[in-house]
Amino acid sequence: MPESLSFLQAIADLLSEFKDLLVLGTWQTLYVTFLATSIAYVLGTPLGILVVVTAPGSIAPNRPVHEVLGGIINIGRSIPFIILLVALIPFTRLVVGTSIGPNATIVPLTIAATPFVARMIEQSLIEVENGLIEMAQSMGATSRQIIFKVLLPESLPSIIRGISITIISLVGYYAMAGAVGGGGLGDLAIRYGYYRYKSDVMFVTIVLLVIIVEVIQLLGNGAAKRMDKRNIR
Amino acid sequence: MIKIQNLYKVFKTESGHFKALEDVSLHVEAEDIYGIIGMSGAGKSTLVRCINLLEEPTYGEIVIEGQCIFRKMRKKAEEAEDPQENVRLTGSDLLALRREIGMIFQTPNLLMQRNVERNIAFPLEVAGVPKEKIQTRVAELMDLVSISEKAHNYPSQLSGGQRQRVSIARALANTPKILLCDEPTSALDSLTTNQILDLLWDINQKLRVTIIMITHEIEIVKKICNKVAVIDQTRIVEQGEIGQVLLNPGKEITRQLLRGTRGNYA
Ligand SMILES: Nc1ncnc2c1ncn2[C@@H]1O[C@H](COP(=O)(O)OP(=O)(O)O)[C@@H](O)[C@H]1O
Ligand SMILES: [Mg+2]
Repeated sequence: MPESLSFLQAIADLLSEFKDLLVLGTWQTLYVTFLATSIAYVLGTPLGILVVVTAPGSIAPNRPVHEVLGGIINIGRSIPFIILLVALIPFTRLVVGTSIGPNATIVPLTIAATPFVARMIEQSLIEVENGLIEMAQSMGATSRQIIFKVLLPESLPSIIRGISITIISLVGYYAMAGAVGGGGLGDLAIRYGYYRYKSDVMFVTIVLLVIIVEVIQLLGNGAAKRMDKRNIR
Repeated sequence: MIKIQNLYKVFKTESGHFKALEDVSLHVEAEDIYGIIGMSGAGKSTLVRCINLLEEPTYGEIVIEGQCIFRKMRKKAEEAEDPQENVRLTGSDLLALRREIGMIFQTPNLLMQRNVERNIAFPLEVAGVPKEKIQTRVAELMDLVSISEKAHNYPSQLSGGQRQRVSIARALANTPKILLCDEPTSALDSLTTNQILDLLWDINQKLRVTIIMITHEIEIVKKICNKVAVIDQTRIVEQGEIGQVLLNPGKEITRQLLRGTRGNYA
């Protein structure tokens, strides 16, 4: 049998042997990162909006609020995820009832992602041209109308790109959490690939992670590009 | 219609106080097309932005259609001969005022994610007009500025002149009596400039909208304004009927502006 065929054969054997675990790991990875991303957006979007509108010269300037929120976000972003993961164990137990497994990992992932999301939203919103805000103000729009009719819709393509970046970051973070029993593909890679010296399992999980990341990136960029009316000629 | 008395605007910047307007008085009558001409940095935009209170004046008084929208006297109340209380519109009064004054800018400032129709609908949505009424009003407005065939196009698909027409239709959506124009043709070629000026002229004639036209080009003043004020470094140095000012320019700056041709961005 030629070399390449035997390699494919080995992969096929491996896949059939570990099929259930790989499917479960992939499912957990998707489930955990999407759920954590969703919750992080629910929490982080208002935070990001607030930071933008309270900035000096914006539609609702408020220096104390702006700086306090900015400070909290920066602190949140500078704590290494692995530290957060450990430090939050008591809180996670309180919320989920356990500190291991996929559901438990959603808690630290969400908390790590929220300040990240706030900054992504901030970045997207400040790209909106000042002239548009001024136009809306000249028409008697309220701050609320400016947020919901100008800032958010105009930056939606950029926000969508931000969402895919967030999901991809969380795929990475979650793989890290696998090292401490968080489940998912990272868990699989550590348990089989590392502790049991099955480097082929490690290889397959990495390939799966790369595929997940690529697909999310493609979907995100594709959606952003398609919905962006600036691209219509 | 619009009465501006002894208006001052001082910007507080990190490097200190910066005077943008000093002792500006202006009287615009209904249906005027009032030109305000001056070099770049003279304070034109600041002045026009005070009229809808996008900028809060430092001192002075602004009365629009008999309603005082801003008053703050430089003299302390006890020193003044006839003291009047300060006025500063806020909240819903301020929003209501702005909805009654249209404004267009050098850049059309269209929402890039909305098509023509929905851009024109924007101020109507903001004012809480019901959906069915928005539709008929938008159709009227598109007709007015001859952009109906582009109703479902997006700004990225329009020429500069078409975009500015959309922004004019949008500014007129809530049937304002006043239209503030801050150099609306400065980014356009001369042919398109003429088309936009013709449109503004028609709007003034047909809809009886009072227009304030900010510009740095004398050609524009000559073409559509019936009155003009010349603003030079924070102060209005000359104002009056167009013929009077242009035939007998009393100030050197006016003569300079008269000599200046298109493209004089000073
Ligand atoms: N928000 C601001 N803060 C500080 N200075 C300003 C501000 N807006 C305008 N200015 C200054 O006021 C002067 C007049 O500006 P502007 O009214 O925009 O002039 P124009 O429209 O005639 O070109 C300029 O020197 C400008 O730099
Ligand atoms: Mg200007």
